[in-house]
Amino acid sequence: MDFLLDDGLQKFRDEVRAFLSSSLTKELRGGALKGTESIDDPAIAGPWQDILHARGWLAYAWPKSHGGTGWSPVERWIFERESALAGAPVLPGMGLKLLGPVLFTYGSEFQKAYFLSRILSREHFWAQGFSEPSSGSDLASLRTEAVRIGDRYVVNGQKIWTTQAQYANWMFALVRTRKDGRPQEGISFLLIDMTSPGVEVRSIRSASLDHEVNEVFLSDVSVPVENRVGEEGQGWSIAKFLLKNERGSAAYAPLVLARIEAIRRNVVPMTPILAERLEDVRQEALAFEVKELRSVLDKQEGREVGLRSFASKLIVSELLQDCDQILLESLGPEGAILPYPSEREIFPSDYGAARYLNGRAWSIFGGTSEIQLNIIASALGIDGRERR
Amino acid sequence: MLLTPTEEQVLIKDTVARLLRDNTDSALQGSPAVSADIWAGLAEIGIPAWLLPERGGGMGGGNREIIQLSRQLGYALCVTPISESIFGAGYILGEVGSDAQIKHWGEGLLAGTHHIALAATDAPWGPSATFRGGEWLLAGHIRYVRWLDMADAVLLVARDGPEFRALVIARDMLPAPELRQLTDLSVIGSVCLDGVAVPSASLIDADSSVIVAAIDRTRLGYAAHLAGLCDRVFEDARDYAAERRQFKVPIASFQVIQHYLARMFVNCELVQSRVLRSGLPGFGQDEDGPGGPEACLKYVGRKALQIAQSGTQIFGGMGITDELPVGRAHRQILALKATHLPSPLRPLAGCAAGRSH
Repeated sequence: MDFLLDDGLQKFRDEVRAFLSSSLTKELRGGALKGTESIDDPAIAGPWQDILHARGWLAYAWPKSHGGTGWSPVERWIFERESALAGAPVLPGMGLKLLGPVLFTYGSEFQKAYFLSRILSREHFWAQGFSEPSSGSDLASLRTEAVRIGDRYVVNGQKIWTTQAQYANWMFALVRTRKDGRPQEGISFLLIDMTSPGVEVRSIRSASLDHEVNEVFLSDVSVPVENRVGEEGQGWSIAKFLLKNERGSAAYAPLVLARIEAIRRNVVPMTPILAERLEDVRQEALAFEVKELRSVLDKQEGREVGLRSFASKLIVSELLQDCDQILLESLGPEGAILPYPSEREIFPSDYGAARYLNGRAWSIFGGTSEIQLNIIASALGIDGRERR
Repeated sequence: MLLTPTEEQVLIKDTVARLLRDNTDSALQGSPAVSADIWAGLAEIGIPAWLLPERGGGMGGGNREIIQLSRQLGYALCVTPISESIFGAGYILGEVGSDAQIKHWGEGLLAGTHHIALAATDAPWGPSATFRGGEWLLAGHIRYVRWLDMADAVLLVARDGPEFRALVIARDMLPAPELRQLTDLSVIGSVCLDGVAVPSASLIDADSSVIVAAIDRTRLGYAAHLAGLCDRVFEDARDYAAERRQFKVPIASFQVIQHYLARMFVNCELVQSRVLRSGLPGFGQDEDGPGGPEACLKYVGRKALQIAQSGTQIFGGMGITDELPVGRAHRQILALKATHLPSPLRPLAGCAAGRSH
């Protein structure tokens, strides 16, 4: 796709490539390749985060006024694409991608000043407290309650599927501050200090035997009112804004293309049938890459991005799951082995089963594929309502 | 950016869309061959000229123009020989044909009065041509050649030892073809060439890069036509789901139908994007790797078939009739998906050279 870039953008791409080439050590690339979770472990992603921060490129999607790069949508796309193709670790997105934009869009001056810089420095590691045991796709039915007493909220309830909560010292959470009226209107957005009394994190062991997700129990947790983002009852609107960012990462396709190349490199020989299936996936990833770029260009040129961006989460989930399954099948009996401490060097192919099992989460987190289809159908006006 | 159409491209696209809208009724969409009126209309507004090479009297339209036009034709379910005759054969003729060849065949292409069938394949099998006694002696066979029934000439690509030769041959110099009807109701022909001799002047001085480019342009035309068909099937199915009532409500009320349509939309977006990618500069040579256009056509064909199947399902019983565009689009998709890709060899009966390959 390089021929699409004008001279200025080519120069920018070359600068990014040179930086990645000199900064991505063998250990960083190797660590990213071995990770089986959807977000790399802080031990892998943390050092990379520090390197990017030192270069001023960590908050590449943030405005300059808040410590970001001020890059255009196409520049951000180039950076994400080159990073994925170079095998860079996947950064923890909860603070950088999800909370950051919420804070500089809805946050108070105090919240911006206090929290944004600490996301960049890694002083704060964030978890996302949205899902609850009875509130998954039907998120608006959430029951974790925050009762205001003076200048504090007292929070009680339970969150679940909280990714990397075992590392987090802060959690942004949706809580119910009102029980009457429409369920969506009674939700607020709180920033909760995970070191507060009453916060308990319990691990959930994944089918892959990994520890990536958790339950978080909140018992009489005291949260200052100044840690509420936006107005009371505005949480649902903020959550929709945040989820749109979660689903609308600009460069998912290069991630898939890099995964395909890694499979090709590491699985030799591959049977003709599996090689053909992998090529089918690659063709779809090539189409997907242009689709993403079209969304980026719509954004860059001030057009409504709309429908085109909605499908990205749906597509990337299926492509990555296809990759995982092909890798698994191509490994034969090795595909049924889970990684365990070993004397020998661990190869990426050791992670076939773990990647496959963890990868099933792609079509569930951040809005299931079925919810994505609902959103697309709704945006297309396909609802069965009569129109005159 | 290259993904955004130019003003000229938009203007011509709109003109073609208007022409097709005004001239393609549902009866025509089911007709067995290209409408002479439509073809003449396209020539009148300068479509062949827009897309033929400048040396052949055209304006040298490239991949993006091919995509713009073919999508419109697909959307209108308008089956024409433009991919083979203009994007493929006309390209070779205009790029490297002799002045005499361009004068003899090119003017008819520009005016919309002549067609040239494209008998070219990059499959490992194919006919051969040997220069002997001042003539080209042909052997082997050509198969699955579209529009052979109505073509005035055939642009034949044949092996000559390790080389490939391109020859433009008047259709009446070849034996009568075995004709069969494709699912889009156009006709394909197969001819045994054993013993056929054609004049030396038939040779076009084309190297393999021009031939490959012509085949790629033809495939791009097919892929873009498929993209237009996909959009049409999706839009018709979406509108039908809003009107068709079952259990006293429009079927679009049901989540299962909504999900069918949402998936069709996503697949349409992917198809458009894949076609656009193949139309970019560096076509077939960039990161798509060798065989890019062929891979594109395979991918788009597969996706288009999924869209047609979903469309047919939504239309229910009506989806499997010939009454509605969805059924005809389904047939067109089957035809385009299958042709102009390398095919397994099935020798023609009684064709000695064919059996030897």
